[in-house]
Amino acid sequence: MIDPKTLRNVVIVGGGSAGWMTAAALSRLIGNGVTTITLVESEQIGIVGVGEATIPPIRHFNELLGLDERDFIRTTQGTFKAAIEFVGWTRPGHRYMHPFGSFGADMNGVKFHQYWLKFRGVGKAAPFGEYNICETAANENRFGPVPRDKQTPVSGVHWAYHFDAALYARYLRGYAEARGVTRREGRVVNVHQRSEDGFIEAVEMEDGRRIEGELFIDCSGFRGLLIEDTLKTGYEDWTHWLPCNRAIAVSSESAGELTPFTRATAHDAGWQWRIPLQHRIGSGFVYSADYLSEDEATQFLLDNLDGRPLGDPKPLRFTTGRRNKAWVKNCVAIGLSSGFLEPLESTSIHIAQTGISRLMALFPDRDFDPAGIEEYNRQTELLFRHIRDFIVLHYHANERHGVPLWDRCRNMDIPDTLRRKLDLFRLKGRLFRYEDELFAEPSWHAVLLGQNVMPQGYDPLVDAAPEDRIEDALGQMHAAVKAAASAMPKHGDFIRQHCPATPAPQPV
Amino acid sequence: MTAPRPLSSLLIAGGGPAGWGFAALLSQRLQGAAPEISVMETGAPTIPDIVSTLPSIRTFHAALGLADADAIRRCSGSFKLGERFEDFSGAGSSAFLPYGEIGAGIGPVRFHQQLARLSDGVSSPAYAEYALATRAAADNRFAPPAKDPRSFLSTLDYGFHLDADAYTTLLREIAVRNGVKVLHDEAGAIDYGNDGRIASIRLTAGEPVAADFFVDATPDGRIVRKLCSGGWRADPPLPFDRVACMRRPQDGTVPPFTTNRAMPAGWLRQIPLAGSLHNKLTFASDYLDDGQASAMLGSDSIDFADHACGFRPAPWQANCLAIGPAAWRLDPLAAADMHLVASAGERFMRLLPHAGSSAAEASEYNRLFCEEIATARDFARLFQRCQSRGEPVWKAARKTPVSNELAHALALFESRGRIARRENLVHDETRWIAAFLAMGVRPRNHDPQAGALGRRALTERTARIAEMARQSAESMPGHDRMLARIAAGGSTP
Repeated sequence: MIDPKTLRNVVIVGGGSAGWMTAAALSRLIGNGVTTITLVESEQIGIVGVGEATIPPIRHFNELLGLDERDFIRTTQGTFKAAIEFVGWTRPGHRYMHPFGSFGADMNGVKFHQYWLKFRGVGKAAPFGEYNICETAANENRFGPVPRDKQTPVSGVHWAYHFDAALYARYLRGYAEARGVTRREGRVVNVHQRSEDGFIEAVEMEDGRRIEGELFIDCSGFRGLLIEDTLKTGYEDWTHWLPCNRAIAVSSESAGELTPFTRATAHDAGWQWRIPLQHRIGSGFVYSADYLSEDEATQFLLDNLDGRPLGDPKPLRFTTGRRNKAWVKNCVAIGLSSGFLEPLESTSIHIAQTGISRLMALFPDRDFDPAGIEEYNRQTELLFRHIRDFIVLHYHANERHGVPLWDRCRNMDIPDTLRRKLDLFRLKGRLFRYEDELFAEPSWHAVLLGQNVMPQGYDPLVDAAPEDRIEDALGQMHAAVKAAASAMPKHGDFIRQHCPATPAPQPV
Repeated sequence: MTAPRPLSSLLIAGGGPAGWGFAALLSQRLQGAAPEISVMETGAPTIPDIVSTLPSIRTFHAALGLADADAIRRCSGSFKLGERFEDFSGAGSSAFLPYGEIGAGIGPVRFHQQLARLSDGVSSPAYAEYALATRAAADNRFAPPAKDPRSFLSTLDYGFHLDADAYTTLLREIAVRNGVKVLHDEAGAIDYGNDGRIASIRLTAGEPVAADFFVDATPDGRIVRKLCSGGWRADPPLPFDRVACMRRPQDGTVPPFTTNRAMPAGWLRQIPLAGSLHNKLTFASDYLDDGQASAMLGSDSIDFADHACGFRPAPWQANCLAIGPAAWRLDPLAAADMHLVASAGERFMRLLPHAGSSAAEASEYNRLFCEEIATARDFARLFQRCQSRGEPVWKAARKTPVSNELAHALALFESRGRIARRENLVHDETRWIAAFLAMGVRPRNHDPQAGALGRRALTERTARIAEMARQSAESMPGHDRMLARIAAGGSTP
């Protein structure tokens, strides 16, 4: 017997990675025998295919779908990612890494970085990143499994991917269609709402076809075709904290060794991303229109590529912030339609992914119970705020004195939640993370210390441990990380051996 | 500005389980870097009390190096596998709230959703019956959980029932052994420094005792109250505004659980100790006077006290931290007092300040405290909100306003049995589910993800779990036998 309140027709508006990720994950529902899933997309609307960087939870998503990792890498021109390199954020000429995984190991119930703070102060500790396996290996362009004889508690490798988002969407389209998702080609020109309560009942296509549904998922991108154009949900603007509002994106030929990390390079008016794929490098320049014209930005990007540009640079406009509600009536916004945060910490795919898993956990029936919708919106809002705070930190904790954008960010009022974190960290390096917060303590430590937010002191409990024992332990961790990292293969070799893209990258 | 100086002295005013629990934990964990810790033992609490704990007490005891057998032996104690609720959903109703795991999830589909999926047309045992603790409690059996995670016997968890005076003495011994100093006196006047911080507290004779930091563990918050800002946040008052306590010697079987029995004008909480039964009647004075309450309890040596719940939203003020009754008064159904003492100690150590200003630490402590205490308060409120008795006083209890968070959690559970995400939970999500179901809250429908599970396989799987719970419980020794073995000097296996 099937529950009579089960939703019959789910309509996803928009392809792209968010749309096809949603379709692939929801395709499981088709198994109940009554639910159909339709995805509407138009080939005329392009996808910005300059490469996408991700964070480790993407692996859970792929595993949940049962994707084979190497097949996925081969199909999407993918590469591995173990860190983000931040160049010039603290000040020009400076660099630091935000690697995945943790730093050292906690001892006597006290965090590793607390011991590090004490011993660094007296010159008895190596740089912080040398206690992290991902960072140490990434600095040598190494990625792969740690040989068994070099494995220790501090050598666990964590990773995510770089891939071509358009190829990922195509890959997931194959997956979803094979499991019964229907794809409809065409542009949506009209949206019909029920007169009594404003619920969306159908979208109308250019050729006059109506596609009816009970649940609509808005994956139309930043514009928010349903959630905003139709339902007028409203948007919380965060430009006062994150002033960049433009980007230029372009791909270029690869040059040099394949890096297992994303790079974000700060400039006077914004920052440039660099995402290494197997066949090319995705680049983009995120900037504020207050400080730079589009022509200047384009020229700047073209002057700072690894190799020859492939295709014309594409301009993008955005407003950083979040949709006031990600779920309104029978419409759920997933991906860019739910809000936009610049890709500084590679969170775009993750925001879509958590939207999907939250939707699965709170999947509605025909009653559309308000408590479930409220819970969805509450959790979505928290996710956005947590990520926002982390990104604001990168802009705020800078020493790029005398440059208008950076002076403004250094002197601005930051969100209270971030202010409290910074105040506590500055005192004794303490950090209280929210339980559901995406970025764990090691990530905060990496960026705070990387951007030279140095605590005035350390936890008083550190002094309770005998110094010589701690010094020995630090030495052992450092040596273990170093040994494990240098035993890992080069990233390029690892890919060539296990998962070269199909078809193989064309020689230029 | 001079470099900050580490705390060199910490004065805890007020003994009791809170003050001594805090002192024991800090003195044990801060060895080596410790400030000198002193406890000023103020007068005894007004009514003899009892400690009925959550399973988290085991972590606290492990940190103190306190073995189960010692706690049981020294405090006339017994093990606690959960709480039984009688007559809360009308006369004759009974439900058990077990500790430990209940059933087993399948991927993202929680166990209660699986049962709900099967429930239409089929009668299957109640949710709690799939917990080992429920089956063991029904038979008065107890054994500590197995360490092997593959064994069904590892799914058990437990707390304790302990005599509060004896428990205080035990915690005091641990603290004193760790070097904590004792001052037998009352806290008198407070001397302030010119920065608004406490410089010293005067003893009755007027002698000042100075310290860098003060902990107010007095029954009435007499120190933190004078620092004043923040005040006290009272819960919307329930009709149950008075408590009557008495302890009665009792031979025979000692049940391994606390029992709560709803009555026309209140509810009786019975906590079994070795050789006695502690009774605590929480009642509405509008409907029952003290004389009638005495008659109900069948005794005239009863201690009465007024009962109101609330907490101090900013228990850390300047260089003073309030804990225990000075910082919170919870409904007994939360059973969370020792949990909160341990949590206060852990949080204080994570934020251990220097001797100077500690405004940033205080603000973070207070934020986390408010979140945590609100979850404990709401958990206890759940029972009052969701019971279904017909008397006016119980109807009034049902109508007493609850927090937005509890209202939302209830609405979400009622719709499809889902649990609202919340931080710093005192009671884990399994216990929230069990509590809703114990009070007869039935979700209107199950999670659609459960609908995708095959019915026959699911039926077999749940039946197998029920059978394992039953068999595992039968393999456990009697609780009385376990207590006798401990009394004779043995330890738990």
